[in-house]
Amino acid sequence: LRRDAATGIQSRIAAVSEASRSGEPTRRPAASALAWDLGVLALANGVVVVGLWWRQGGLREVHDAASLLTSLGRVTGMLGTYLALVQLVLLARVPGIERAVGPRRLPAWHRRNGRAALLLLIAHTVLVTAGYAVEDGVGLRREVVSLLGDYEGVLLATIGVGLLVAAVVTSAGAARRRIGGRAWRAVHLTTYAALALAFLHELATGHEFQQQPVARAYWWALTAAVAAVVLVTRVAPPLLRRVRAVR
Amino acid sequence: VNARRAASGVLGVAFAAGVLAAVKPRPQDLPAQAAATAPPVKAPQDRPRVSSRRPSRPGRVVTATSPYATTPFTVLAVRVTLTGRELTRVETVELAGTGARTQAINARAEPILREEALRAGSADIDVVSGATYTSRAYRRSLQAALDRAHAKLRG
Repeated sequence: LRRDAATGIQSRIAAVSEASRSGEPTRRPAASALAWDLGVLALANGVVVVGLWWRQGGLREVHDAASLLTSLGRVTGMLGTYLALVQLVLLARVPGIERAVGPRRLPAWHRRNGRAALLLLIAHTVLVTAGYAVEDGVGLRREVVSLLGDYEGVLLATIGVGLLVAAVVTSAGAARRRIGGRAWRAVHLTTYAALALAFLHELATGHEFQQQPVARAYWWALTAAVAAVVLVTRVAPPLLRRVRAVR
Repeated sequence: VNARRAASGVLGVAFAAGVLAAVKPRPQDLPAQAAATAPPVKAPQDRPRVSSRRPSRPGRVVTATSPYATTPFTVLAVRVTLTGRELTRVETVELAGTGARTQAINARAEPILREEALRAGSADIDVVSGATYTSRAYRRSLQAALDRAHAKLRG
């Protein structure tokens, strides 16, 4: 499965560079209407994600340095996670998205969006840690130990963000050439695990989701929808091919 | 084409507005001086919020109460008893929250936090899932009460 996914990525890179050589095919009206719909979908969900934070207090919650840091830490976490989910869909080889965005722009978007997601998630980690340390009146090191040990799922999520850092760092041109395609692919595959690892702490510690059945249901649905897209477009096809080959 | 775009745009707006409208709003903030003075809402308390255990060996008994610890929505205070240097009793002497949602979170989290504190014998307790704010305030309160009790033991 892993190898199939890998060859998939390879063939996609080949296809993309071919497309960029031959020039982008002109987009048909159907594709542009689809692009509009997808844009609306992405934007509406982005609004909901930030809106959950806003409904929960947003900037109204800020009354001192600690709450400013924590509040910004929460919104960067929500938005970073959302961009990370968008990231999975962007390169999930959904035919509609490929047609709508165009094969040449897709990898560029994926690269830019991936960096933005990682920056937001790192900001989330730093801001929440700093905000909590200020509020508790303890040193940074002690707060880190407490966060990793006493908060459900935070240790797992920290491992997850480490995996995302690895994926972005190894994707820089020079690093990617040095470690080789195989290792790069392996590191990139772990990003799925990274998002799964982060999921637990989102619902367990996220202020936006406490005693909030609608917000929880939305978050589950969003994550499940992305997981379904990935399953259908990236996991199922190679499995089906293999089953057919066996028969 | 434009009508179709408008339709999907309207759907998107309706979706976002619908979800956000269905989310419960932020609970009311505590009055400004709540941190320093007595809490504004006395929560009805059907049973005493106390956890205690027998000391493993006899020793001097000291009791100390924390100042009020607050989240934006909750005021709480705890009283601890040390026997020797051992934490033998934890009592939540104050727990008031604004709004039904905060009170539901607090009512669920408080017994867990109190029991955990007694078991740990310190303020180093796990944050209760789904009650981050209350748990953090409880930990701070517990630490403050323990600091006061230790100071009494020394003094």
